[in-house]
Parts: sequence; structure tokens; C-alpha cells
Amino acid sequence: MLGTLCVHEIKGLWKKAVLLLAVMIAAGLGGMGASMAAQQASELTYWGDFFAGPEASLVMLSLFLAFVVWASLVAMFLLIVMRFYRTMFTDEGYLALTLPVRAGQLVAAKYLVALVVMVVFSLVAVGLAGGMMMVSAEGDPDVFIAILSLMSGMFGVVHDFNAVAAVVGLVNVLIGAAYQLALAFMALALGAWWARRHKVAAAVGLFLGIGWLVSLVFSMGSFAAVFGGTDGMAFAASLSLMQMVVNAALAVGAVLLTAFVVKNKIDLS
Amino acid sequence: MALLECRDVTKAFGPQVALDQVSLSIPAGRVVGLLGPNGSGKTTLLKIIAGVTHPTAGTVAINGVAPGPETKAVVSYLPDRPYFSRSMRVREMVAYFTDFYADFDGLLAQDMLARLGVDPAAPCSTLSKGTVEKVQLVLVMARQAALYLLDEPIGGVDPAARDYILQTIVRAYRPQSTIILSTHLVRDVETVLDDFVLLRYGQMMLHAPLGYVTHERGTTLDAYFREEFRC
Repeated sequence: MLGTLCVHEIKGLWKKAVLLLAVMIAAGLGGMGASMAAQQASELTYWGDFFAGPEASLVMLSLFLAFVVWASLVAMFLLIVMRFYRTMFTDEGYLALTLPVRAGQLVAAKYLVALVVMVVFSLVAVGLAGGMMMVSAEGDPDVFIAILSLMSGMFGVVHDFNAVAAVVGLVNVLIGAAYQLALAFMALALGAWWARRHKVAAAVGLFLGIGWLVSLVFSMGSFAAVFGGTDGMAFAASLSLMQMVVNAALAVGAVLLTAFVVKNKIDLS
Repeated sequence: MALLECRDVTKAFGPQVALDQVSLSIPAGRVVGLLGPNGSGKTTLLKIIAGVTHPTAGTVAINGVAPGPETKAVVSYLPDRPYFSRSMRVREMVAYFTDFYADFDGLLAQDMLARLGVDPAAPCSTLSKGTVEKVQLVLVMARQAALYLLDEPIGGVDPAARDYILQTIVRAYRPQSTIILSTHLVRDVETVLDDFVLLRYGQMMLHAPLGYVTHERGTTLDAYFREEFRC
């Protein structure tokens, strides 16, 4: 049944996902083109003419298209989260919650499909952002590695943005997607359970509150480590890795809690 | 063993008690009317039996099993609201039921939809409220379920559609299955009922065969209902 649930979840998502992915790729490629054009134009003019020439417009355009890439990623995340809420806790929940499947299967199918979609979107977004930066840096591949390394937080800083840090950064992006999705699903389930009214507002509050709390703990740890002693930077790098492990554990815990709440606590209105 | 057994089922929403220690035992092969005025707890009871709401206290068993995946495989539930995504097409709804319910008869559903003149390619958003209700009823009744739970199946449709819905329900009747339908339109349904359950303020007033009213009291269920629930 998990496979069937996944198939129906994909059917419900694929049209919007393909559309947004097309927008994202078009924006990314457009951004690369704009960056390239800006660079070529800048070779022909003096810096004093920068704002008078086409370079400024092209740079602004590439920045805007980079924003569209990021916005597409966020829009997909929101669409997935809204679909989860709609199909589980509104009238459409009567369809989902009367299926002869376990609550765990129901949540797992939605989560797995959402995770695959978000991983694809995240990888494409990182690839496009890296591509845009690489074009700006005249094709220097080190820029791409540096961007990925930045995703690993202090680990990348300590390891001089090398290839290992880039891989860690990539893994961190994927774990981040898993964590954010799981946190959103859990917040929606808890909001639907606890709040009598304004369930979505309660869920948003929980999502932001828990997310900030976890970030705050690790930010304070990193801050204290960096300014705490001679081995502070190394400890901060370890803390970045620890945060990845904790985020992965939190993601698993959040999915399990969501399944528990759906099975035992949710009353459809 | 009774097909459906409810013991002291209570449901409270904060201080408000929607169901108060309702006990019910219904065997297979019956058509049961769940009757009561608005707010009497009919929908809440059906939701608890269907497994989409949890009782505050008490137990429910279908074929001896508490609501869960096993019971949902044999219970066909029609809620009192549209529950398909508005973007779904009718044929996608049929495919959905085909994929998840082993007891769903897809050919029967398609035949019933064709008789209704519903275009399988039509998105749910283009159908009228009444047609959506009929499509949902067709899907629910095209299952060979042990227990049908129909919440206000005739509540929001015109009299002609009511006849169609009641005929569909009667046609779906099999000796090994039980149909529970909640309504306050007693006159329309009393011809198809074997038994009735009266609920008031979340409490069960009476569970009796239709003959209790028609033979022992010499009146109709509709008249009896109006007498009992006169404002």
C-alpha cells in the first residue's frame, strides 16, 4: 500500500512540481546568460560608465533571476506543505483517513515523495546558483566548491572551502530539506490537534518557534566555541557536523511524531 | 457476534458533550436509520465508527475489531461533505477507489455514473454540489462493504435525487452487510429502514425495529419522530 500511496502522492504533485522546476531552470539559465552578458559588456566599457551602460541592468537581472530560483524552491516547499495540510486535516482528510492503511504509511508516503521532490529542487537550485557564480567568476570551478562548502557552515570555513567541505555542504543541504519538511509536517499535525481555531497559524508558530530554538542552540554553541579558546574553530566545525546529525535525528523523530498524532489524536471536524 | 458494537461511547469537545455513553449493537443484514435533530450526535457517532474521530471514552468494534486499517477495509463511509480535491476528475476518483479498496466494483461504479450522465473526464470543480454528492455516493455504494455509513445522504439534494439515492441504497443491500444512514428527513427514508436509533443531546433514546412504531404504536416513524422532538 505504501507504493500505491506514493503513486497517488506523485500524481497530486507532479504537474505543479514540473512547472516550478521549469521556471527554476529557466530562471537559472537566464541568470547565467545575464551574468555572462554583464561580464562581456563590462569588458567593453569603463567602470565610470557602469551605471550608464547595460551592465548594471544585466547584473540586476541576474540577481532577480537568482531570486526567482530561490523563490521557486520556497514555493515548492509551501505547495507540498499546503497539500499535506489540505489532504490530511481539512475535508479531504475524510478521504485519506478512511483508507485501509496505517497512519504511518500515510505520513511516510507523503513525506518520502515530498522529500524526493525537495531534494531534486534543492540540488537543481544549488547547481544553478553555483553555475551563476561560476559564470561570474569567469568559469572558475573553485567558486562552485566554495558555495557548496558554505552550506556546511563553520566546517567549510575551518577546512578552507575544500572539496570535503563541499561534500559535507551538499549533505547538509539534503538533511536540511528533510529536517524542514519533517518539522513542517509535525507542526501542522500538532497545530491541527491542539488548536481549536487558527490551526494553520498555530502550525506556523510552532514551525518557526521550534526551528528558531534549534538554530539558536547551535548558533550560541558555535559563537561560544569560536570566542571560547584556541581550539574554538575546530570545535565549531564539529558543532556544524553535530547539527547535521541532530537535524537528521529531529527529522526522523518529527515524522514519527506526526504519524502518532495522525493515528491517535486527530479528530476531523 | 454483532457486526457493530458500541459500548458507552462518549465524545466531549472541551466542556461540550457530543455523545454521552452511547451503547449500540447492530447485527449484519440490517438497514438502520440513525435519527435525531441537529446537534444530537449522529455525525459524531458515525465519524467515530469510521475511525476519523477518537472517542473520549468507550469502545467501538466492527466484527470485533477496533477502528483501524482492518475495519476501514470493510467499512464504506460517506461523510456529510465533499471530500475529493476539486482538481480531481471523476475517472481519477474511480481509479483512487479501485487502487485502495479491494471490494470496490469499478465496472458497477462506471455503470452507475453513466446512468447519472456524469462525464468521467469532468473535473470535480465543474460538477454541481448535488452531482458531487451523487458521485461520492456511487463510489461508496459500489464497494461490497460489510458496513455502510451514510451521513445525511439525502440532506442536500432535490426530491428526485433523493429517490435515486434511496434506490441506490436499496440496490446495494445484501444480507451480509449493514447500512446505517443518518438523517432528519425521516419521511423519505422510513420505507427502507429495518431498525432505527433515536439520539437526543448525544444520548441514545431508543434503538428498535421499525415495527415498534408501525405495529405497536400504530403510527409512522415520521409522525413518531415529530412527536418526540417537537420544539
